[in-house]
Amino acid sequence: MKNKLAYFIAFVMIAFMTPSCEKYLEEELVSDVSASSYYTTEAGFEDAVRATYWWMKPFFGPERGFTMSVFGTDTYTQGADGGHKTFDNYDGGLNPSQNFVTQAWRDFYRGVNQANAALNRGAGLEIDEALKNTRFAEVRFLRALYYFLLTSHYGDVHLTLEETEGAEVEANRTPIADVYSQAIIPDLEFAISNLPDEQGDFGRATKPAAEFLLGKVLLRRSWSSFAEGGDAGRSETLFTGIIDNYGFDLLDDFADLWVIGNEQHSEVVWAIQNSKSQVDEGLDPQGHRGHLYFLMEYDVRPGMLRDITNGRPWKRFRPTEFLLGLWDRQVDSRYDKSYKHVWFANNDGNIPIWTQEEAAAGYVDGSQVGQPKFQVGDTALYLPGPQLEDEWDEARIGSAPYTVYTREKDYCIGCANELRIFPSMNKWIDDTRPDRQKTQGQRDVLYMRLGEAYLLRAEARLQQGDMQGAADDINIVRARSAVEGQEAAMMITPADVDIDFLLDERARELIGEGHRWLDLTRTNKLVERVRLHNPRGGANIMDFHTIRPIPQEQIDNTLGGYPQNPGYN
Amino acid sequence: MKRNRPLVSTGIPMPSRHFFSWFATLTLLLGLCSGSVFAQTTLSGTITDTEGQPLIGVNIIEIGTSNGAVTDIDGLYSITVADANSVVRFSYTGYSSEEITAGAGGQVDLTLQEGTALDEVIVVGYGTQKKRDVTGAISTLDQEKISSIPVASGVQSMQGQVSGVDIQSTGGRPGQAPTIRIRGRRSVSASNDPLFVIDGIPQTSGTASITDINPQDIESMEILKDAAATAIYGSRGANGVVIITTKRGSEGKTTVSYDGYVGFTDPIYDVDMMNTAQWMDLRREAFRSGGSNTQNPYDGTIPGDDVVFDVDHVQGIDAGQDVDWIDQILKTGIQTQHQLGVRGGNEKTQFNISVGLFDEDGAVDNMDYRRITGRINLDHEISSVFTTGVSFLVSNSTQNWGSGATLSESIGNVPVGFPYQEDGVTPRFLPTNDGIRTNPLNEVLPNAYIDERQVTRVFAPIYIQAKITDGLQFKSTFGPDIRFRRNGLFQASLTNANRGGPARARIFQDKDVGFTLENLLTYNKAFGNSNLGVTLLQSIQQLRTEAHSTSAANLPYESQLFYNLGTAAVKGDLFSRLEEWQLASFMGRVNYDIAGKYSIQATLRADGSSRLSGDKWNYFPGISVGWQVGQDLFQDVTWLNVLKLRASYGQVGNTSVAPYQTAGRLTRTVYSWGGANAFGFGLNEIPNSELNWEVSKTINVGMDFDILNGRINGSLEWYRTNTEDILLERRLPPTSGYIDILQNIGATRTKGVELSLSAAIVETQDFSWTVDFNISRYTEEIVELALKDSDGNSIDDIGNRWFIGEPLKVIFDYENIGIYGTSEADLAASAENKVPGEIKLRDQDGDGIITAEDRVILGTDIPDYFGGLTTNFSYKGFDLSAFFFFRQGQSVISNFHIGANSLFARYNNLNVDYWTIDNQDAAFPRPNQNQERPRNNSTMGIFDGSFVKLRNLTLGYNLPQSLISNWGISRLRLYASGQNLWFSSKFDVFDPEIDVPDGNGNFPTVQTNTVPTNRMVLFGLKLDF
Repeated sequence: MKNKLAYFIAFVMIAFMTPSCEKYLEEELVSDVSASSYYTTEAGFEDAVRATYWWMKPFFGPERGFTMSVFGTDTYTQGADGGHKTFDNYDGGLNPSQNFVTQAWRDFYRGVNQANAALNRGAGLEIDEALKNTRFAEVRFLRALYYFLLTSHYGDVHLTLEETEGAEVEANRTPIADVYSQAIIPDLEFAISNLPDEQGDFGRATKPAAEFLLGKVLLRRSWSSFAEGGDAGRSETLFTGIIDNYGFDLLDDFADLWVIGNEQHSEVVWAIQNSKSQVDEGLDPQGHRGHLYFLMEYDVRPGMLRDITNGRPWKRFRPTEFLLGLWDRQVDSRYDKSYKHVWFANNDGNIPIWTQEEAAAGYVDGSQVGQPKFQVGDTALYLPGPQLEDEWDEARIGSAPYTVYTREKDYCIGCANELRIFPSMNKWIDDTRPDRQKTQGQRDVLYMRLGEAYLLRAEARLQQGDMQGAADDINIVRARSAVEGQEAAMMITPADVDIDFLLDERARELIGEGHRWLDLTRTNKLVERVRLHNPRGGANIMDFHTIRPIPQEQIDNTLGGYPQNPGYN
Repeated sequence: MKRNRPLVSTGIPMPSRHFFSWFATLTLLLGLCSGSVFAQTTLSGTITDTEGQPLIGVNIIEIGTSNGAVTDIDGLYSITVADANSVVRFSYTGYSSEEITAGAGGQVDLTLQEGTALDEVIVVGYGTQKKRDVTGAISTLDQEKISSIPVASGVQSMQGQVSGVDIQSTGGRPGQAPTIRIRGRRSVSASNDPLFVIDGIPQTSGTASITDINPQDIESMEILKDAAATAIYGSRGANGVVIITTKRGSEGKTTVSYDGYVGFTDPIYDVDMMNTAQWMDLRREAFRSGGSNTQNPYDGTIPGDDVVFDVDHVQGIDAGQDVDWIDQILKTGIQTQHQLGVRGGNEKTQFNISVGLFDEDGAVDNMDYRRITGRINLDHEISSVFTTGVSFLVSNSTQNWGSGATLSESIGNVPVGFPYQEDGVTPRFLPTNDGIRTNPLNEVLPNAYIDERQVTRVFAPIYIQAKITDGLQFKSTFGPDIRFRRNGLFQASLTNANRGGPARARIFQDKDVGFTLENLLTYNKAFGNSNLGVTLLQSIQQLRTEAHSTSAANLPYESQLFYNLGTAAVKGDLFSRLEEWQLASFMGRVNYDIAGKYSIQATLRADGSSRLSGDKWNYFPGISVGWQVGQDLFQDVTWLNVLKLRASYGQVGNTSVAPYQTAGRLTRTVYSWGGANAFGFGLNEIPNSELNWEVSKTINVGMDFDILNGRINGSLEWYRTNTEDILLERRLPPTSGYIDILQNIGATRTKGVELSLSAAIVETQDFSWTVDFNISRYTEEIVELALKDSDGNSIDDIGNRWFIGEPLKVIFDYENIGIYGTSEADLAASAENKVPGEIKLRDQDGDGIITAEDRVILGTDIPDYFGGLTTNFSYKGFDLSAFFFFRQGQSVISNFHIGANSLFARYNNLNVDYWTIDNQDAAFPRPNQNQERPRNNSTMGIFDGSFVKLRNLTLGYNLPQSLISNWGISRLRLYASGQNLWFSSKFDVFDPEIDVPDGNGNFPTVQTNTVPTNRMVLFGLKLDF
């Protein structure tokens, strides 16, 4: 019995030997880090700055940014596929619950808060002062960009320059003029004073990038009801600085702008960065997806199947008739360098054969009946495009071994293939994607390039009545793209310059580059031009459509509510 | 229902066995055993009640035969049975039945105990109690009920059988766990799953922990519902506790048993998609053009078919295609289960060994589930003081999840497409030219889409128990629990996920290593006619989870599946993760009962949790009292056998939040400088240093009754739970820069009543008919929220869809009141910027325009009432039982009426009555190719989800002993059973019994890719040697 008792006592002692309670219940974060412990280190601060760049990516590159800049303008309207056509239609679907309206608002504010946090946490950090100021300037540049996008899309918005700590359920509505004067402009002025001309890390904000953005901000204000005298003049000065001071150069050939892999050329002022390894490995769920949206449905046509070279045709965006009429292809090479005309056969199983009917119509010699019209590698589809398609009458189309698509036959309004066949913009084609289905492309989003700086300076000069200066700037851009021997014909005179000409020129030069809706709202031309040139939205657009609805999510979650923009309910 | 315990042949279940000796409740039963004297195959003797009075007319039946006898006026009986293995049942209304094995026969005198069900011993957590003494709200499901319906998981066997327990299927995918809510839910953001306790060890993996257990191995399940009962589990008791006890070995003859069935399943699927003619009409209407509105040309004209249909459509139409894609996919499935068990032992050592196989092939190819379980339960008496034992479980399951696109593509593809290439065998990847719509048949080709989820689990609680002195006992249990999960994903080129792109694959693995150590000291002592019980517990529990995942794209050859990722041309994302949590606890409990009439129980548990940032420790008290009113005051009322009142109050907590939620973790962000990685770390969570316990306080009043000598018994419960400091994942205005924050803000109140009734309507020697019925009802309301007005009163949180006085999950939307007709064109334009043919919303505030203010609450997922009805007939060796399950008054959202009803005629559409200018009374809007979906389409999907189901119908036959004993078999039962043979519902497109796992606040939605529930017919046998 004694033996057993000892046995028992020993057992109880072992059983109750547990670690001390307080220590036992401590939670130790191993696989993650927190802001309070990490942002207070130099490495953490650097990571907080890099995270501030990240919040541009859900907008620039994916469908959201493209839809909100391409749709609902005079240059593009809807193709067959996809949602979000409401941005083109200006119908009741463009309401406070619309996805992109909601997500863009949310993610810009996440960017703002990340910027505020980097500034807040970095303030007490003891690191090299010059480096800190550079990083602060980058962050303030980005914050200015987020607020610029917010105000441009939504008008008067919530303004905060403090990091959110705890559950913030209140929100203000600061007049757009105050957001400019209290946040965007001082942030950019700070950025200009503290950023270097160039950064070792390509893609970080630089002084010319901050000048470019401030130039654009001031130019936008110059058109607005809260314009201040001197906005256009200051804007002009900033663009002059960019053009003269940093060694940027227009590429000789407009087509070289779209060569994939050529992303650090002399015309880049600043671009949102993507990386091939990140998109391919799925680390970056966003990437540049511009290659998807502008393409026609080539892949189910005779002799064709979808491949990487030709792209994945989502047929979202279809050029308006107005846009297609903007280029004079005899003198201006930019249409031909922005659009695709020829698709080469890649599908052996789908090559059409000459038929008896075609022989009977005299399109082909009777001996060819039953023979394939072409082989893999030959032209399968041809879309001559504006001006050139006049040469394609029925007989010539019938006799061509390949399929020819013309406006009259295929993509006129009401034509059977209206939404599926149209000139396909190939600026963003990405044939380096690992497979034909991959949506994330590797291109950077070229947000500021020297070519546009000339056009923006032209606009600033136009605002000041300097038509000669404006014409000079426009001519610099036009000269590059003249068809050989047509340089003189490309030149314009001061008498040609007005805002409509300038907007047309921006379309010719910058189509698909993500500026159009904001260009039209900046210059107060949106409603007029959409009514004139957009077959869908033109019928519905109202004056209030120059800003977006405030997301219902914001209104519902704000203590005491949040005011809606006029016109939306 | 009477609970019949075979006392000799298969013995007393082991856990009970341990506690009986300390609870002094088994004296009678032990006496009964020693009273059995073995002789020949004839048994005779006297049956008396506890006072020694003879019982007249006691039914005596040789089980499995029609052989029987009745006691005479002196309580004397005599029965001759087939052989020593025969089991004889003694039953008498108002008394507990007893079963004995004939053995050598001879004189067998029995004392039958009054009070039937109330004398059962049930598991209450850290011990057992006689049902008579239980003061909390506890329901029991015995082995008979658990095994009566063949199911993959023990959770499903509770469905409709236990009042207050609401089990909802999450679809018919093989191996999919249902959701379980005990007395509703309390929380929005924290888990609402109950705590499962298996063989004494609280489980760390939620409902998943029970899916690893073969239901055939379960001896009993006890469901602790009120806070007084669950307070002993403290911080984890808020959602109720399910205690599962597995079968243990027994002293005596070794029995070998086999249980098995094979069932044929047939999906319940009444989704009516359009056929070719219907779809062609839809498309023609959608292509109407001209008229007064360019976007929605409701009054335009329908163009020619050459404009309406694409070239590929015309090919299909000309070829006479009219494909029912769903029909191409759904098939008959097979479900089988086999279980082999060996049970026995001597007085020192008892064992129960079993192996089980569950195998289900679903209604869709590539969706199946297979589970192999092995169990050894062993108990050994080391000495008169020490006993030790183990419950060893090893289980391996493989669930092929299948491709979600199989069903969604069956629904989306137009009927004019071509399923096969010209060879008639190979699926055509794109049935039409539409690049979005791939062939569902491609998804189910062998090795095309594999999503294989394997779980391997080893769970082996070991205990050692010491009887220190009389009534004082110590038990220490160590419960290691190791779970490996592996998810292999492979998507071939020709699948919806890849659309012809190269194959990709991913492999995800995680490993949970947890252990629990519990030290339990119990003391039981009788003082005269009173009994005192004291229980003290010290416990620690911890879990460590490590996970990692690797993915790759562009596999060089598809046959490697996910087994050679290194060869892939493009490597994918990788991650790894570590998560740990700890819980430390102390608990004490005192039970006291006087003369079997008055009982009281008080408990207090202290829990410390690593997952909280505020006070890591909290205390959870519970107190409950019981009073045998019948015995005390109504002894003379002869028809009232038992009337017992119970009342309890308790507090329990909920820490079911993931670890580290309070820390304000950063998330990796992806950026690059000129192509070089520039990862950062961005804000993602607001740190909350105040995160604290969510506490539920419950008052429960219950009544147990037994009238007409046990012909009718049941219980009635009323409760009210106030939950405070609820853990809310609260959405914030986006201007905050965050999505949401996890906070303890707000309070809810749940009130409910539960009734369960059992009635023995006919009880004769050859024929019996019993009915069990339970019904529950509860209401849930939010009483406090974070948002306050200037007076400090809580106000509705519209953004989060939380409203004071309403349940946690509501449908908050515009009210659909039909479709605008042509006569309402002006109203449609002015109120909603719409045109005739579009959905008309109710202008709730009458201001003439539809604004956000016009949204109202349109339904909740809380049923008005739910429950089950079981009826059993038995005639001689035959038995027939039917079980109905019902749930009434809850709303469901049907995605068939939203997603599969996009009415733009690019895809196939649910066959609905849609508006055209010539059919203006339709319920659904006009098809329109210029939209991806009708405006306010969410309002089309709200339905009353009430249903009644015939969940189970079983016909069984126990072969006569006289026959099978010749074969050396002691029991042979054959049965046929049908599940879900019938259901009735206002929502008739799909089985509306649906729930979504919690955590995201989503409303229960019938999704178009939910695998349909099955109707099953099965045939089985049970065999004992």
